Amino acid sequence: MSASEPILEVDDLTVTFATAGGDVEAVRGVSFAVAPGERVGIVGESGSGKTVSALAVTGLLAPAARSTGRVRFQGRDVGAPDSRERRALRGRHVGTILQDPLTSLNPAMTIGDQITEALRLHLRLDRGAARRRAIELLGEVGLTDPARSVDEYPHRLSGGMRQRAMVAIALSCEPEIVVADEPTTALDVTIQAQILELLVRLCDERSTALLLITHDLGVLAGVAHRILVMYGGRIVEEASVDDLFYRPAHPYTRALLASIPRFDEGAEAVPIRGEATSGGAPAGGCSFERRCPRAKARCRTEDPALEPLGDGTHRCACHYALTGDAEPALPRRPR
Amino acid sequence: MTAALLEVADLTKVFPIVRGGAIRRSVGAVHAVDGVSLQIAAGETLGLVGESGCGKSTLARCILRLVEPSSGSVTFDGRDVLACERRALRRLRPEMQMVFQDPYGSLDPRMTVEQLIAEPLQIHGLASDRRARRARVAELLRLVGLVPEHASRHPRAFSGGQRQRIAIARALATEPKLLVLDEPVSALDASTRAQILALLAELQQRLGVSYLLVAHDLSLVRSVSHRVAVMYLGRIVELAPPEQLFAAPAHPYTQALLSAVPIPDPELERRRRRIVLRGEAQTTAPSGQMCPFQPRCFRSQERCRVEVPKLEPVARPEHRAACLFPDHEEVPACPPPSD
Repeated sequence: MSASEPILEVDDLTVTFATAGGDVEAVRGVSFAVAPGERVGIVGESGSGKTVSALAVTGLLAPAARSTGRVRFQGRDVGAPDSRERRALRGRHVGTILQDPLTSLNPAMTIGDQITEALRLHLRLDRGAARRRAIELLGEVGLTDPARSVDEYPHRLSGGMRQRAMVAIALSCEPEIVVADEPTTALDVTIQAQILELLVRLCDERSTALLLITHDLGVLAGVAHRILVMYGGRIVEEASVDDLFYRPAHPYTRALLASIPRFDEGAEAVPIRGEATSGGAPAGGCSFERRCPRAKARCRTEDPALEPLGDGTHRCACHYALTGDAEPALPRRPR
Repeated sequence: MTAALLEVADLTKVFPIVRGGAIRRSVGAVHAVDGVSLQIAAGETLGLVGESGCGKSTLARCILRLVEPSSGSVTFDGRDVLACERRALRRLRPEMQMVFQDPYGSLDPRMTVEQLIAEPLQIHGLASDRRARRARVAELLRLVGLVPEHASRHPRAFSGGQRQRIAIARALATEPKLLVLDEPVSALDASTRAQILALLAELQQRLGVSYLLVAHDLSLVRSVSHRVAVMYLGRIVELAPPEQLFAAPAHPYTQALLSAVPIPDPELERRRRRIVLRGEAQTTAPSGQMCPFQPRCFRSQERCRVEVPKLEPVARPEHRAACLFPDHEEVPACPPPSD
């Protein structure tokens, strides 16, 4: 990646939800940056805070959430989640794709109207120009017969086609970054591959950055330049895609990698023991301690900070980060 | 292989396409399951893989008669399932159980874990009194890796993986010989999937139960299946032990499916070429005597338009594919497109 100014900077983001049982910290002091055109993946289990982080960036958090910390876009503060600045950013400069296109698309509007809405609001195109652009976009994302599908309602399209329409909406105003939260989780594997390929190609052509949130690390191997691993509301490891897959330093990342079943190898997946912690700061210690095969006394009392390893692009939050080749990167049980 | 526990022969399910409001008329038919034959031995797992709309769930439901098949036969443990009257079917039910995809939807949120697991015991009169029932629930909870103290809680207190454990305990309560698992891990986190698959494998070792494991992701069935069937448009297009299916897929559809599964290895992913199928997944087969996969196939030839391929052995007797031009070379994990 170039050393140019980041397109998006998140600094010490904390998101708290007030619940009947007291405040729950879903995200605890998360900081990261995305460079122009860079594809960054955030991976984590349910409750790790990955979606909440993404929603905080787009300003789409539920009103019950309180967030602190700073989000900067092209060096400028984006303002409060509901501010005019943030609304102007959303759609125009930040495109959003959510998991389930059937619930994130408006069922009572045609696909075309949902694209032209953004084009007319943000780019001030007139009705005819917006419609022509919408048809062009639908063709680009691979909808069959775009001149006809532009007038279709979402329920008339298949899941894959709906997600393609979402991609068209997200990219309609040529945003600088697209935030995609589990965009392929609800889809079949062949459709998943198509949508990911489409996203990568279109973002590359436009030098658009991509922030891709997923629970499936395997998906990121072919898509991301850089990966953030989240656990218990924190980033526990940050590395280039190669470092993360070939030189994972955090025990959680290693466990996550070992738990992915691989059809191309004769090795069996090794499940991570225990259940994921969600929200709530554990009393002082490392949030992964309870499930960690390497936990020592210090891990129970001292929460490790995210610190650079080696050249500084690889960061890890573990008192006993695994560096070097002391252990194989992917410990697997032979069959 | 010992005698089959489950034998399905030429099973077909046709759904009529109905149009009109006041005067409803049938305007066509969808062959959701189209002449499927398969066997599952005692203690065996058959993985059944295919995409949305291929008929895999309908097939699973037809076998249990949750959906009434149109024709064909299902023989379970020597008994003709389709000929069973209501009472006979009810006696059969405890022996064939099902686990559904979504443990958030399949467990009644108002019932406690104990009530959920004890329900099948009560329905089939399998526990004499409350104390016996409670003991059996505790035993089942331990069996699936939970603790008896969990019995008094409601499903909402559990994570997705734990809920699926509860659903498995409930399905195992009647000591079934066959468990039909319909996408049991697709609603779960990637990291939790391995846990549940390992649990299923362990339970099979201990209990000798057979599984029909329905999934849309090939990589998920590899480690637990003894044989894998790939389904497309209501038909089984390839059937083989996993080692053979994954190393040397013969049917172009299986090859395309495999090429779409992400590999958690960036270097491999960069070198890899995906097979992109023409058009969209169909839900109705093309009419006439032709290969149903022909319209999307990247290897299709003239003969494919005029002949329906049968599921026949390729290379080895236990490896069968329904393709007129099967490819049974050992191919790498990511076969390149051939056109």
